Amino acid sequence: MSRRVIDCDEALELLAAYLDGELSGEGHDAVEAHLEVCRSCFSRAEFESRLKKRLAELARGEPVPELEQRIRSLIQQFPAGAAPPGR
Amino acid sequence: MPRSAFWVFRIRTNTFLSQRRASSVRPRTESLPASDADEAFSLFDRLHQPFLLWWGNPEVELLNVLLRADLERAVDALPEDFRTVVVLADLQGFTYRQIAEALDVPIGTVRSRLARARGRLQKELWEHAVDAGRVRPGPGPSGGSA
Repeated sequence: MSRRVIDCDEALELLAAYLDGELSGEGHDAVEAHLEVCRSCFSRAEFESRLKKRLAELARGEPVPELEQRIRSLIQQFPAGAAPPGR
Repeated sequence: MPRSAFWVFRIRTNTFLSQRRASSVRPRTESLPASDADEAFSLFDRLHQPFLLWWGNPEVELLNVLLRADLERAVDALPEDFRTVVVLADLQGFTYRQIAEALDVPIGTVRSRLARARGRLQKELWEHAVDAGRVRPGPGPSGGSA
């Protein structure tokens, strides 16, 4: 069975509900099909999804993965023996 | 008390108080003015303006430099009704129906309030990122503030 074809405007209108898990059936499938073929909307969906995850982390009180990444990056940037930034 | 726990406490208190008020005075009225500007704001679109001086992937770059404190500050800056839906949906993972029942509002109100709240939140993050020099707007229609 073919899925309903939607354009970018409709996909973006449905995107929040899609990412919130509030879409089912035809609407869900239509957004998913659009994201498979539209790079711009896919990037937008990725961004909104990552931002949503960062917000969810506020409730958990756990260190965010980006923090670990930043720390690792700083360690590589300032090898052992080098003065840390701000000193 | 962690910031998110404080928000949840405020929501529970305010929900209890508003439900008490609602039981004696009906119909309820919306406490927020309608604004299309909030809903229309998209951080993603801002980051893809052609005059921004980005290399690589702008939205990933911004998310990488966003601190927990930046997000907390942006949630804190939201009006109470907006903060409530963002905390319930994005931090606590409630469904639209659960939020509607908790706040005693129609599900359509949850949907529209959430859209406006997220737009406002992204606007806060954008303005803070510009002020903090985390995005570097070049010459353009709104690029002179950094």
